Amino acid sequence: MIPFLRAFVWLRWRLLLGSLRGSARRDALERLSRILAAIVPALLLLGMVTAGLGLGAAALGGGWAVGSRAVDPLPVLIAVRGILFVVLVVVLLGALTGPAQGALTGSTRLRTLPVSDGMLHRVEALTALLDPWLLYVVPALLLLPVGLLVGGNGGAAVVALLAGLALLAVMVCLASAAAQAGRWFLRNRRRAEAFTLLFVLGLSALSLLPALIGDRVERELRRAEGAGRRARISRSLPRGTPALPSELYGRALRQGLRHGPAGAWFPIGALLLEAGLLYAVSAGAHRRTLATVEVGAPRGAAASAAAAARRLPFLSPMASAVALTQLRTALRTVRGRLVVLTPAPLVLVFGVLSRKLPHELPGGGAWTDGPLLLGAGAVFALYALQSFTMNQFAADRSGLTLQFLLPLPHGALVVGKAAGCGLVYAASLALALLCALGIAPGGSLLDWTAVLVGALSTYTLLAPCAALLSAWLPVASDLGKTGSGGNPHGLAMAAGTVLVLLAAAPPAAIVLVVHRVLDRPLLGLALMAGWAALSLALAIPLLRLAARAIGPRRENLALVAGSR
Amino acid sequence: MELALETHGLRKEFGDVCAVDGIDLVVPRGSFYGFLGQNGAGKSTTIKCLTGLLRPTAGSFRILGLDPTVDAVTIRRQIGVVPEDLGLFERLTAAETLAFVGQIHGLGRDVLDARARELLAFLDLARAAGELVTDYSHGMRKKLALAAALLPGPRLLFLDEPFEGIDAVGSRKIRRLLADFVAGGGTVFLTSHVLEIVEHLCDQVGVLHRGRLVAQGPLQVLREAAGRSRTLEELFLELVAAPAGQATTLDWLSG
Repeated sequence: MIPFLRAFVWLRWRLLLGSLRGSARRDALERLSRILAAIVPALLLLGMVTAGLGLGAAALGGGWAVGSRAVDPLPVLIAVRGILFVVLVVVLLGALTGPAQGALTGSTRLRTLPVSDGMLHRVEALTALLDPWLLYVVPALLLLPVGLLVGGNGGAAVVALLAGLALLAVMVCLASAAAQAGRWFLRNRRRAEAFTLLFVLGLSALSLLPALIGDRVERELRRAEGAGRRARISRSLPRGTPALPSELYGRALRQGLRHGPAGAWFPIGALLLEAGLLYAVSAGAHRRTLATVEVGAPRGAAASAAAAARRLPFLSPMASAVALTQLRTALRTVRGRLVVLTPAPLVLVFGVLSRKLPHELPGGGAWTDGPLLLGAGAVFALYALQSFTMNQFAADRSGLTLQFLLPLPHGALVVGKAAGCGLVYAASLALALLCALGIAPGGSLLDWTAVLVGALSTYTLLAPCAALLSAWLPVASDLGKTGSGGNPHGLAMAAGTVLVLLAAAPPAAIVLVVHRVLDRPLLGLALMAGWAALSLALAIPLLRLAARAIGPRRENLALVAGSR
Repeated sequence: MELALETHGLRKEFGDVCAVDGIDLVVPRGSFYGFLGQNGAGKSTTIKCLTGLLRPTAGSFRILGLDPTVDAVTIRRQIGVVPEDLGLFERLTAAETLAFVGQIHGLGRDVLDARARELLAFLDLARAAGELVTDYSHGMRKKLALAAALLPGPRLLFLDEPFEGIDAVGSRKIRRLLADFVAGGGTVFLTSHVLEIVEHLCDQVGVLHRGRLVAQGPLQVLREAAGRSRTLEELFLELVAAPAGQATTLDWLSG
């Protein structure tokens, strides 16, 4: 086992170095872009290491304070349970969204080596330990027992150590089970579609939980005083919460503090049982993944060339072809479906939260207003669309080679891409509109129209800037991947984030000032239409500029898109 | 002699590495030109330069009498390319891929549909026309890339390893198709490591070795210069200085 593990860790390390090294076949801007792309994850890692060490120090201090009975253990335990719950969720989401990121299972070469499938699975499961979020809590899980020991409670320290190791095992197995199950699901495109939908809806429901639970716990804390507080808080949590690994860990700590190691065997045993069950799920999913081939034709795929060759209104045949290809390829990727589906549930969450817990949202109860909700959905949709807009050329991979080999002028390519991404955005916006209408149907037609026009004008301004950034900072991304493997260049994303804010500011100002403060919706709509016309007038020369920018970057784009 | 392709001192450097070192290609119209070389000799880089995917560091070239620095789009209307990476969208079907190519070339719907059906049927892809390229085998992808190159009716074809991964039946069909294309006045510029195919199909040959063109001309003339009985394989091995039957030192494999 150890030699295999060593070999696989070395393999991962070399793959990481290889991805950073790049190739000599790159121009100066591309080399700079690669350096910048490496800086962002490095800074994130540094931040996580610092935060992890800080959390470890806090755990050491907290352990000492509780062990020496200097403080009431209840707030410390609540904090520990809360932090561990958040980490559990993040680990789960990370594993679910990153199943296609260069997993060892996918490597044919590894499967031809004399390594049993079981060993391959065990090694893969153990590599989950390299998850930065797991590494983030490891110092805290190890230093809390040290703090308890220093504080003079040796029994509780032993319990904390054992429970910490058991919790770590649960987290590793959870990450592995989620990744393997996700990978198995995504082998079948039909199943992948259902998975994506469930994932988006589940994520939205999950995002409601902290606010709802936090609010209930807060109310119970206010009501209860002294003894009986713990029972009231526990009652305020949803049913099934005690089985959560973070809760079992908290329970083990509590029992350890009260009764020493003898009282904590049940929660620690339950944690080990959960780890075992999750490991079994992971192994089963791994076996199924190896035995399954990737299948499934997409819905609505054309089998006849004439049926596929459509022309979009207002576009040349060439730009139409590019736009339709962009739309088709986007909607056939998991990420593309996420882009279309995600803003609508977000609008739903905002709407529900603004009604139930107005104090939890910036802006309070203002989000009960339908057009404003739609506006929020429109901005979020633009952010979600960045994986397509901010790397629109290189994301085509081999398809970009085809486009460069055809008699396709750069102008038609840029316009087609802008229209194609615009169609994806329009689909996302339409779903957000339906959700906003469903949850807050009030408001005048003028308000709704103004927000829609504002959303489209924001995209109109953003499209040429996105084309320019895509030409300057291309990345060989794979939009079939839901994790970072499908992301555009970090700098392009950062610039895109700022640009979305800048482009959305004027329409947002018109909606807030003219519609809300002055209450003159007709004037607001007229101003918005004027802004849309101005945006279009600005976008046309900017699109020409973007088309001219492709010429000098053509070779680099072809090399980046074609890189394996 | 009318030329389909001519290069003058074509050179391509990547940093310190010179991939193509000042080559002068001469490809007559209506010829079947085999561009040979070992792995890494610079064949694919040359094709990428000629088809506009890479910008040459130095030198000039003309394709079908046109200057690519002036008439790049016009040239692309008249050529078909099967590039090294095949140039396919993974998440389009074969029919959608051909529709895309046809639309860019401005083919009418009827012409596009008729040609696409004929090509897909000829290349045994008709039944898989509605499947995504990502589900295709390597050979199927290659056939689709060839169909996309042929669809607009080009006058010059650049084919990078067109027979690699293709089954025997398909390979024979494609060879006959290409021979007919050349007989009809078209020009084919292909790279291949299968020297038997090159010997059988090509009337012109160029040999690239470490970025330099070490031989070029009609196959017959090259063979005569080297001794009539020589096969193309023997000629090639002599040109790239890789003696046949080099003694292996991997003794442990035979034990």
